[in-house]
Amino acid sequence: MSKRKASNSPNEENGEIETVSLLNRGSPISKRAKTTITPKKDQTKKPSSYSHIDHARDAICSTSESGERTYISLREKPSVSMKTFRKSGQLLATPINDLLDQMTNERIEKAYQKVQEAEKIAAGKQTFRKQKTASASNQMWVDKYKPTRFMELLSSEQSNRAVLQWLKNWDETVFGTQAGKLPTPPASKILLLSGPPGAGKTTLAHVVAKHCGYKSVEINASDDRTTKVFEGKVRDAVEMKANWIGGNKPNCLIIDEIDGIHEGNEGESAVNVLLSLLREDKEEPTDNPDKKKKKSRLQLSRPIICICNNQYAPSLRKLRTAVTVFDLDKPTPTRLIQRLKEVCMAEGVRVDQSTLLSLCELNECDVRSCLHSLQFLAAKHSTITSSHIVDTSVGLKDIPRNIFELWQSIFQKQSKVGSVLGRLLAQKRREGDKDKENNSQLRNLTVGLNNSASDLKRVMEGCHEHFLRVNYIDPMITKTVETYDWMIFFEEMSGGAHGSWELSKYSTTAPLAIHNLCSTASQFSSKFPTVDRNFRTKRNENRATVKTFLHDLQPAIHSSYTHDILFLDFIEPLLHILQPTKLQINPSLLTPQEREEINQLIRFMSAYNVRYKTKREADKLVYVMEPSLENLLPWEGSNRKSVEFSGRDGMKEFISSEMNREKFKKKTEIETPKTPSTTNQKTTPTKENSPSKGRLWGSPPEKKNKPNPPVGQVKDFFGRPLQPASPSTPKKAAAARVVEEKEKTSFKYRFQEGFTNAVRRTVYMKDL
Amino acid sequence: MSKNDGTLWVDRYRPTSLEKLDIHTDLTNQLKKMCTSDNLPHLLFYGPSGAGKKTRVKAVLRSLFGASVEKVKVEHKAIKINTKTIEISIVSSSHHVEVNPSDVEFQDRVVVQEIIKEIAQSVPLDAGTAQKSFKVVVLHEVDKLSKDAQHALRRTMEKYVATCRLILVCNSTSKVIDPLRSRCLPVRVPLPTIKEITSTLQSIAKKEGVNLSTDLANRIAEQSGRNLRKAILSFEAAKVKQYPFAPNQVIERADWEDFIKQMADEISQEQSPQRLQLIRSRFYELLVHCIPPEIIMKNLTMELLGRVDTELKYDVVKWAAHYEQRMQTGSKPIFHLEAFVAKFMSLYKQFLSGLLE
Repeated sequence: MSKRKASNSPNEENGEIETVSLLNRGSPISKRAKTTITPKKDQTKKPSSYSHIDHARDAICSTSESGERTYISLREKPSVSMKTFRKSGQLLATPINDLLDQMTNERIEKAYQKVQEAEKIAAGKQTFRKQKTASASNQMWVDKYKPTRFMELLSSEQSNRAVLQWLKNWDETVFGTQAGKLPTPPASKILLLSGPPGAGKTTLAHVVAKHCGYKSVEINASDDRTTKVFEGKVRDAVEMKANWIGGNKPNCLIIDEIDGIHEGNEGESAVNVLLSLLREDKEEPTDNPDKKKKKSRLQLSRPIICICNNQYAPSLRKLRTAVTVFDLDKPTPTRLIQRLKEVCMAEGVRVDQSTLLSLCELNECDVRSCLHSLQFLAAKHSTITSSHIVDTSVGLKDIPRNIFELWQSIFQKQSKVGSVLGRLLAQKRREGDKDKENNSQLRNLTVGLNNSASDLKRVMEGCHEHFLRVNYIDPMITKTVETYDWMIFFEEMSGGAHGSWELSKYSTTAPLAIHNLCSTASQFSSKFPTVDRNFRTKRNENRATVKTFLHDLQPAIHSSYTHDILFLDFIEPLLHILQPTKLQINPSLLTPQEREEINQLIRFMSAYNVRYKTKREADKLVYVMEPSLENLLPWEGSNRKSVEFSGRDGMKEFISSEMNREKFKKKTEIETPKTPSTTNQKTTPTKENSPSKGRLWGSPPEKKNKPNPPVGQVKDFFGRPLQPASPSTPKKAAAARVVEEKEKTSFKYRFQEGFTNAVRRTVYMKDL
Repeated sequence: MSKNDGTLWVDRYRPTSLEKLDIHTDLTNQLKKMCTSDNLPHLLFYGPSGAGKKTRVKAVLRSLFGASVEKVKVEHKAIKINTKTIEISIVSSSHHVEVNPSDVEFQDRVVVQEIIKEIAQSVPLDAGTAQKSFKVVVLHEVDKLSKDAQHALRRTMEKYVATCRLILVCNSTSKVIDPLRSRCLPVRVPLPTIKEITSTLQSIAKKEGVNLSTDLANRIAEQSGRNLRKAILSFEAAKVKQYPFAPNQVIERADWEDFIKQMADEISQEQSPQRLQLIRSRFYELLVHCIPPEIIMKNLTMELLGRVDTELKYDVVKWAAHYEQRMQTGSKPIFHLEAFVAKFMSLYKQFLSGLLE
């Protein structure tokens, strides 16, 4: 058992490290030694209490959750005699062990009470708040009752622990347990905490930093955050290595409201500073000589916590992918109410559970705003009831914040039936205050819309997409017409196509009008509008396809066509013309007329630069048109059955190979004078014999007229030309043999694994 | 001429000279006269699609400069504007240049300023020997030019008139600014008559050795809406589909026309927000296929007009015009198309309930 003398650590302020060590060793203690817990007074108040330690004995120093220091002195192993006592009989009514336990429990109980008292001590040098001192009233409750310890945090335990865990990962790097061993920094260097306002992000960051023994350095929106200053600050904070050895606590940089750094250049650059920090940090181990020259060669060895409301803010886009993100939710009402109760008790305000509940609802569990409202009310009344909360219009925080809430409050009439507040409001309404609810929603909506004025276009996009789904009552379609008029109004106000912004401030009226027209009491769930975006991408694809088609048109035709003409008049007939619909698949069985049709088709295709290209699709080679005009034709939702464009791969394959052949032919025609056609004719029978796709290379119909193709086959397979089988003149036969010899040597069978079962062979251009 | 170079009939049998043009002979004669005279004003060809504007422009060019204008090349020029690079295709011969500035959408002003100026500023080397001492710049789809670009064009037209003539081609002059219109000689190319289309089809059939009955030719012409290009293309498509022609051969309309017809049916069947949602998806489908919203509006109005009572027709047309006009100033056509349909539904419902009372 490793024992730690209390005197070894007289300066320990962050007792939690000790706690941890105690917990780890907890079990051996209980087995091997009896403990006496000697609770001491609060350390910060009375450091002199160290003298109370019995130095003659070994002791374990421990700190309770609240920071209360306790010394546990270790006793010697229980003597043998004790054991015998226990075994033999009892001198006392209760065994000594039990008594000891009881004592311990009592002491723990006492200590716990003290802890609870300590909890009520204000963060600063404030004494107990039970005595409502004059100075206390000056202070905002929010600050007064700010959690100072990890256990006091209101946010959900899970996320608290996750953040703590993340920061603990730094311990090795920052505090460096073993000397000489290079510390391995944690994988994620920057933490991004996001959550709605009043969830306790900033508090969490500060508390956790303090808890882990860091000095928190905060950069927030009130600071000058231009790139230069920002970078300097960040580097100062992160590079403070020397000072740490000098005895100070290491820094933990907290960048608050990082999304509040104004979008655009400034915001981008702030994020860039962080990103470049990360990058430099990564590059470091490569030890590039170039890098060494850099004046700020830096290892990111201090934790950075960034705090934001909306992790999806555009300026954070890059950062979000590079760092660890934690989402902090609002505290649960039960926890929040518990805390509010404590506060009220401390402040001597009388309030009941349901009042607090409705307060929480009203403020949507925003701790800060709850406390503010409470303080405001407490200033006037010593007893707060629900009616107070309903009556006062302060503290109402029911404003739609994000875009989804905006849509929801546009299309859904507010009725909080089921909630305490809703019932209260309903009651109020019955009493005659009819329009209050409606008005307040409109007002909140207006504020919400104004807040997100930059996003108004998207709001309207959503309105456009959603409003037909809302079941508003509209027998004569008049409301719908009016809604559209408002949308058009919005478009005009926000500048239309020509972007003049003078009138844009009036554009907020449009969503309000739509709210008046279309909102219903039924549940509305908003989704992000995707239809318009999908439409645009699809249209651009189609446009690009046609553009390539137009781009590749022959010069002579080129100027006769424009995009519109192609879309309106041209492409559809062209596709019909290019469709070999009635042709059968086996090209070797073509009649001369069909063959001519195919040739015509091929001519068309090459004239308009349309090709068939192979594409691998689900383990199958598919032939697709290039440029992909085919994609343009199937109309979604059309009654008419479109032309069948699939399933004729064999034909397409044939056409595409014919086209290649045509191309080569043209080339060779230019390069060399045409080879005598006799050789061409003679090789055809041998070609036929190859077990491969002979049809690939075209098998002109005339070959059927050729005499004795089977004879040729025999010749080829057995290698021995059958003399009687070739009754033609010896001269011709000799010529044939020469050709055969040539063919033999040029044959190559190669098995191409994985692609096709066809046999490959060499084919010369001139033979084509 | 009838050489089978693999192009479609519509391209193969396009008349190349003024002499070969057999539609609108009056107009052709005027153009002929103009070409033989020494001076050619700036021209503005306008008329509906498929009437033969571009063909006519080409023929004019040919009679101005001879066969050498037919030797054209296509150049894809990249222009750098700030950080963005845009590409534009320029068709040019030694005597003329054809550009479609609307290809580059918002940046058309730059195209007008840079390219046309560049062309206009240089004098052809053989200015003395050639027939004409000027070049011709053909601008297509001028009605799609932004106002900025059109204003940029004004000065260019005057300044370089000695070296360069402009031929502007557009569908409607209503979107061409007045100063431009006043600088050009407007030439209206109307749609050919049904009769002219049938005779053109017949002559193609003759050259191709295809047997085309008068009845079928008439039907093709009717179906095409007097758009000659469409007529020839659908003729060829029909031929590929089934030949020899059956007496009751179906000439299919374009997909998008059918689609709009189907929409009109759907609108007149039911009027409700839910139906409007269906119509919305239809509109998107049309727009995805790059059918210009003005054309959608026009065709839909026409289809709807056929389905309503005379009493309603005035209102429908009025509102169609209203929303079309709004659409031109706005940026999102879908709003206006839907708004029009909503208005129609409302009118129609009111009318129906009025009948019931």
